[in-house]
Order: sequence, then C-alpha cells, then structure tokens
Amino acid sequence: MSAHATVLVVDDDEDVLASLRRGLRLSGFAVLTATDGRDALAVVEQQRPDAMVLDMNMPILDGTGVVTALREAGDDIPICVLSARSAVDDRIAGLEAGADDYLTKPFVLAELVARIKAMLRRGRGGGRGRGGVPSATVRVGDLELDPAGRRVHLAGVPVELTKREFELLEVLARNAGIVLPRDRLLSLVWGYDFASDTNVVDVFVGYLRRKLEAGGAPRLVHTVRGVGFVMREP
Amino acid sequence: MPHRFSLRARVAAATALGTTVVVGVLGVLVAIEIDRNNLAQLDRRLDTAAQVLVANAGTAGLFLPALGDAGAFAVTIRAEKDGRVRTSTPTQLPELDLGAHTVTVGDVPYRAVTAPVEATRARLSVAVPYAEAQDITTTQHRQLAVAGLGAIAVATGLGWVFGGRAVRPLVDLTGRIASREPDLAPRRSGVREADELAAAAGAMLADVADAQAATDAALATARDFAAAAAHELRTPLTAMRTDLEVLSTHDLAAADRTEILRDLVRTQGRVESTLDDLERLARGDLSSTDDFVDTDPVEICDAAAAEARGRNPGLTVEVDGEPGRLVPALPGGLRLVVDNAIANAVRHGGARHVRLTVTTVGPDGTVGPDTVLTVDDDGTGVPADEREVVFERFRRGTGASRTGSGLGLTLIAQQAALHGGTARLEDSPLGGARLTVRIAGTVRIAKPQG
Repeated sequence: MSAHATVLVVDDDEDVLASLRRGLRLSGFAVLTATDGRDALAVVEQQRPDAMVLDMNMPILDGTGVVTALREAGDDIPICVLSARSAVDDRIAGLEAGADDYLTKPFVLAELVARIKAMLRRGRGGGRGRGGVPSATVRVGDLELDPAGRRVHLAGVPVELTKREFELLEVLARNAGIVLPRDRLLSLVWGYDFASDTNVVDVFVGYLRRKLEAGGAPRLVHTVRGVGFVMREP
Repeated sequence: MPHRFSLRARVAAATALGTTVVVGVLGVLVAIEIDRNNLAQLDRRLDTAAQVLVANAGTAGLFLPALGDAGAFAVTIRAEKDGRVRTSTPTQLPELDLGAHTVTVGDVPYRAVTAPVEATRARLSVAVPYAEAQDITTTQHRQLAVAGLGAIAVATGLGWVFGGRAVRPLVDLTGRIASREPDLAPRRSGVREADELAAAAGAMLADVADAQAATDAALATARDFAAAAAHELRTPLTAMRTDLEVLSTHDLAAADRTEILRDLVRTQGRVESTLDDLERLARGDLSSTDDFVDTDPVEICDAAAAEARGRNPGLTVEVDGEPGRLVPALPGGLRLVVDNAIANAVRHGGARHVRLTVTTVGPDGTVGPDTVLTVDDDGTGVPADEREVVFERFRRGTGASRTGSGLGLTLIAQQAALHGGTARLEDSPLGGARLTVRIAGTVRIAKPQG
C-alpha cells in the first residue's frame, strides 16, 4: 500500500538528507526533501506528501515551528520527528506541538521505515471510529469523549488534545478498567505491528495526565507497573 | 573546647571584675582613712581630758587612787625627772613620752595621751581602752563592705542589662546570617563592630556566591560544549549508519554502491575533521607562553598559500607583506589561522581568489607593536548580522556549507586571543569576506642571513 507513498524528509544536514533520501527510496517510498522549515511547509503545500520525517534542529523555522504551523492549519499529516539524543526538550516540544512519533539520532533505518508505514496506515484510518466501533460518546467518570467531533470534555470543560493524544485517550477510555500493555497501545494507537523499544506511549500518557489533571482533577490514567496503563474512574 | 559563655555574660562578668577592683581599692583606702580618723578623734578627746586634768593635777592626786575606773579609763601622773608614780588610778599606765601612744596594760590595749604638768614638774598620762575607737571603726568598715558589695552587685546587673543591649545587634546579625538573608549590609545597628561584621560577612557571602556562579557557568559551558560536540558527531554518524544499513540490506546497482561509498568516505572525513578541530581547540587552551617563538608571519602565509594552491586547483592565493619581521607567536597556531581562513573562503564562500596581507603597523607607520594579518577573498562573504556569532562554537552562517565542523572560526578566534589579539570579519575589497586577525607582541627585524 505504501509502495508509492510520498515521504517528505526535512533536515538541514546535506549528508543526512542524502542518505535518508536514498535509504527511503530504496525502501519503496517516493521521497521529497527540504533543508529548512520554511522549505518544508512550501513542499507540504504544493506536493501533499503522505508523511513527514522532520529534524527538530534547523535554521529559519525549526521542527516545532513546522509541526505547530501544520496542526494549526488543520493538517493531519503524520509526522515523525528526529532529534539528537541529548536534545530531549526538542523532542518534547515536537510531540507536544502535535507530532505523532519520534526517533533519536542515530537511528536504524528499518525502524524509521516501519514507523512511517505504521503512521501511513493509521493516518488513513485515523479519526473515523476504528474497527467498526460506533462513534457514540464515551464516558468515564467526568470524562466525556466525542469520537465523531474529536472533542473531549472533563467535567464539562473542554480539553485541547492533539490527534495522537486523542486517539490514545479514546483507546484507554473504550477499554476503561482493562489494563493495556504498552505494545498493545502501540499497535492500537500507532499501528505498530513490530517490536520497538520506544517510550512514546509513556511520553504521551505523560501529556494526557498533564492536560487532564491540570485543574487538580483526580488521576484517570494509571500506570500498572511492569504491564502498561489503565483508565479507571476515580 | 573551652567552656563557652554568652557575650552578654562575659560583659557582665567583666563589669563585675572591674567594679570589684575599683571598689576594693577605694574600700581599703577609705577603711584606712576611717581608722586614722577615728583614732585622731579619740586622741583629740584624750587631749581635752588631759588638759582638764593637768589644770587640776593638784587635786587629782587626792582622789585618783580612790577612783574605781573599772578599766574604762586610766590616769597616771609621774614625776618628770625619774618617772616615779606620784598618783594613779587603779589601772596604772607605764612611763610614756609626750603625745599619743598605744600601750598595753594587763593584755588590754589602751590609747594614751601624755601631757606635761608644768607646775609640779610631772607628766600626766590619760588613757581609754583602744577598743573605744576600734568598735566605731569596725562598724563603719562593715558598712563600707556592705556598700561595696552592693555596688558590685548593681554594676554586674547593669552590665548584664546593657551588655544585652550591646550584644543585640550581633544576635540579630547571627539570626540574619542563619536565615540566609541575602543582603546583610544596609541595616544600621548603632554598634560599629556589628556593622563591620555585617559588611564583612556580606562581602564574604558575595564572594562565595560569585565563586559559585563562576563554577556554575563553567559547568554549564562544559555541558553545552559536550552536548554540542555530541550533536555535531551524531549528525554525520546518522548519515553513515543509514548508508551502511542500505548497503547491507539492499541489492544495489553498481552506480548506487559507488555513490553510497563515496558519501560514506566523505562523511567519515567529516567526523574526523570535527574530532581534529575539537582536539586543536583543547590543545589551544593548553598552550603556554613557553610555546611562543619568534615567527615570521609572511613565511607562514607563503607555506599555507603554496599548500592551498596545491589542494585547490584553480585557486589563486597571493601573499603581500614584508618578510623578515619576526613576532613572538605560536607558529602552529598562526598556520592554523591561515589554513582555516583559506579553507573557509573556498568551502563556504566559493572563492577563487584569496589574498593574504601581513602588515606591521605602528605610531610612526613603520614597525609597530601589532601585527595584522588580513585574509581577503572574492567569495560570497558573510552577512553583516552573522559576523560575530559565526566565531562561536558550532555556529555556522546561513550561507555556509553544512559539512564544516562549525569550529573553523572558533579556532581562529581562539588563536587570536592566545596571541593577545582579536579576529573579526568585514567586507573585502575583493568582493567577499575579509578576516582581520590582530596579533600583539613586539615586532623584531630579523638579521639578514648570510
């Protein structure tokens, strides 16, 4: 299905860009490139790529700026951000702005390819009531999810969530009371059908907690040590 | 550890000790005076009695022996010539010289006054027990002692009270230091020592804070440097890893293989040059004044120019300057400056023409204290707003090629600083960038070699 999917690779380093362009082309993608954030937005506008691999650390307009601009414009394009391992703040900023996943440099190309494929699968099915589940409102305690309108209310107050955060919350809410292991969540929310040592689930659970508990509300999403996460009514 | 007292207790104790000494000395003097005074009074009374008795010496002789004195007084009249007793009270006084004397009669001390009786050529001695004066004196001494002890007690108490007041600024200050009050200086306590202590403590705390800040800044710099260096190395390694993975997992056409291998070699070279530059930067930090030798900058430029021409076919490199003017310098460092400047002009500016100029300027226009090395090129130049930041580590200009280490100009700035000078970027008359490196150090004309 992704045989001819178009991936935009954005990195300010010529060597990284050249190697990724070649690697992804040989992995079966059509590859577009851009060397800075402004370039990247222009390419997205004109050539509508199916997914995006975005370096966080760039001149002119950095990765966070690109993600923010796209999400504000209502563009749902799946984005995997790349960051140097030491620059944790970059990665967090990118994911918070609405990126779907991240990889730290240097990474295994096969891992990037698998993530892009998963993102493309999710990107196409996302947001339309997965698995034939009717998109009726889901309620857990004070939490109210409207899958059709992609809206979340906590005790009547709207909560702003990014696309991926919403999907994670929806899966947890639909399975309230059931402990979901990390790899199950990776599969349900990110579409990963492969083993991956990523902590993207933990990162996003962290974001959800911060947003849901901002007003001092009791914890909804609980960690089950050594297993995964579960949503319980407080 | 010696026993510890509060400062207040010490002030009170010092007051008590001081008062005791003063009261003690005064007391002894007053006691002696009281003693003497009482004795003089007694003597005056005895004098008066003697005069009365002398006037009546004739009749006195009749009743004196019959008088029952009961030891309360004694009168004895003796012949002046041989001292024989003419008449006496039952308590008989010994033979005495004229004037007042203390004598012991039958174990009891008496105070006696002896006066001449002109009419009968006799001497009359009249005496009362010494205790009469002594009793008053003892009573007065006792009162004096009580008053002295009272004074000491009062002084000690006042010392305690006022000592507490005097010590309060110190107690306050201790509290402020203990609660880590940041600014100890402004409050005026009225006690100079406390204010001085506050100022000294404040200054010391400020020094400590400054040292702490300097350490923190150094650590932050080191952390930033480590992070930046790691990032610089990780980027080319990411490209290499991707390339290697492609090589090992895909069946590639010969052309693709060649391209990947060429890229790999180039990226590997990039890692190497970043490491080399980092090493140079670290080594530059370690160079000392012992490494400085008299160096001819023109000679260094000639050598660098020759090598640059060889490495970049089609590149013109001119050298302009008077050879034979020596300046104390690090030859390796100067060469690094020139090499990096030429490499930057070619790599980032795309220059085809580079001119190296060495001038020694001075007030008289001939040989001066500074040497200025100028590198001009006809490349793309450096935008005005980037001319300072590009000297920072890993900061590349927007027009710069991405494949440099980001340390070239940093190394130049470091070397300029090591030579007591500066480095800056300007527009060049050739159309590109001009790098000006100023080197401090007295220029010496080399002796012509035979």
